[in-house]
Amino acid sequence: MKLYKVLAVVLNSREMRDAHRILTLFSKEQGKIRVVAHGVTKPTSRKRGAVQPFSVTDFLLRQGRDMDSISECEGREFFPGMWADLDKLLYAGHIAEIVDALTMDGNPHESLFVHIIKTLRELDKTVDPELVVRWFELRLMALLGYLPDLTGCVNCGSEVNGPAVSFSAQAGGLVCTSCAVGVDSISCNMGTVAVMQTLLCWDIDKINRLRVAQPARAQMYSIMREYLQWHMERRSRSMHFMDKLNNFIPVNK
Amino acid sequence: MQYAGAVSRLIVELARLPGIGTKTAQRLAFFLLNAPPEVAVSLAEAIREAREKVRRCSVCGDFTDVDPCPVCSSETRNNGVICVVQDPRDVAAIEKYRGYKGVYHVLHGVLSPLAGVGPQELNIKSLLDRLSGGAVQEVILATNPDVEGDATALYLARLIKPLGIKVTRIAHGLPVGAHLEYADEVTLGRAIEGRREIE
Repeated sequence: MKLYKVLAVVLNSREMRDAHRILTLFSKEQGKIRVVAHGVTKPTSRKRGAVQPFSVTDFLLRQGRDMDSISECEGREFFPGMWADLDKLLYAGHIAEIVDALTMDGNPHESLFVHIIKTLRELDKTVDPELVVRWFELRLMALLGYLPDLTGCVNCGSEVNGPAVSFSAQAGGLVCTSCAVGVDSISCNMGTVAVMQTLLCWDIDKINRLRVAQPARAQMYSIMREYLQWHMERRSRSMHFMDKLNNFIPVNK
Repeated sequence: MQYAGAVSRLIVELARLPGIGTKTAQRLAFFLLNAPPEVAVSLAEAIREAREKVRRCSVCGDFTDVDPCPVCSSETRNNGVICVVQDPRDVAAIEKYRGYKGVYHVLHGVLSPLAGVGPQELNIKSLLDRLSGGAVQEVILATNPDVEGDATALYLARLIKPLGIKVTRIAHGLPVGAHLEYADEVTLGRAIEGRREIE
C-alpha cells in the first residue's frame, strides 16, 4: 500500500454513492488528479472541511487499483470571503471548470498551480471579481500556450487600427478588416484590446487600480467566452449558468 | 449468467434505482421470488399507490397525498415564517426536531452550474409568489452548507431582501456532543463566526 503527499487545490467534488465523493484536484506535484474521499459527507468526518471545493489542502493519498483515495488531509487555505459572495463563488466555479477542461490528467504544471492559488487569494478579498477572473483567463491561456495575438492581424500580420477591430477565436486573435470577411469574429473597440493587453502585462496586485467601463467589460466577456469555448471544444457551463441567473425573471409579469 | 425474461427484466428495473448495482439487484430479485407471493404483491401495490396518489403540494412543493399538504393546511402553524429546504427529506428531518412551528418551501434541488440546474429548474417562482402576499415576516434558508447550497442561499437572499422580508440562514457549527479537537477547520471557523451571547 503506497502512500504519497501532494499539495492541491480542490477544483470539483461530486457525489459517489452515499457519503463518498470524487474530487478533482489540481496538485503542485502531479497536476490534475481524481481521488476518492471516503465518508466525507458524514457529520463525523474530520476531512470534510479540507475537501470543500476551492480549498488548498495538504493530502496524503493512498494508491488504489482504479483510483487513489485520501488517507489524511489538512486544509491550508479556505477563502471564507468567497463563500459569502454569490458572484465570487460562481467565478471560482468558472475558474475550476476551465482549469479542469483545459488540462490533462497527471500533467504537472507548477506555474499554473501558483496562478490558480494567487487568483483565489485575490478573488477572496477583491471588490472587482470580474476583472480578476478576466486576468486569470488571459494568463491561463498564456501559460497553456494559447495566448491570443492582440498586437496585429493574426492572419496576414498587418497592423490593426481604427476605433473598431475584430477578434476571431478560431484564428486566435485580432483580424484586420479584409481577413475578417467570411470568418466568425466579434467586433470590439481598440480600448477593450488595450485593457486586455494591460491585464496580460500587469501583476494581480495592480489590478485594483484599473478602471474599466461596462461596454469594455461586456466585450471582454464575449471575447473570452468565445475563445475559451473554442479551446474547450464545448460550451462553458459556468458562463452559461451566469447568463441564466442574469436572465431569470423571478416574478411572473 | 442469463436469466429468464421476467427475472431479467426485474433485475434491470431494480438496478435502475439509486445505489443499487447489478449484484444487489439480483439479490433483491431473488429475495422477492423466494418470498411468499404477498410480499412482492404488497411492494408492487405500495409503489403503484405512492406514484398515483403522491404529488407536489400546490403551496410548498413538498410531496403529499392531500393538497395542500398537512403542514400548509394546519391552523397551528405560523404562516409568517417559511423555511426553504432543497429536498422533501429535509422537511422530514426538521419536523423530527418538533420545535419549528413555521411552514416550508421545497426547492427540489439547488443551483448547480456543472449540472446545468438554474433558477428556472427550481421551485423559486412559487416561493416569490408566496412572499408577494405580504404575510411573511421571515424566510429561513436551510439549504446544505456546501458550495451549491450556499450559492442557492445567497441567490435567494438577493431576490428576497428587496421585498423587505427578514432573511436568515441556518447556523453552521459543531454537532451536539462533538469534541472541539476533532472538528475540521472550516466548521470551527464558522462556529466562531456564528457565536452568540449567552443570555
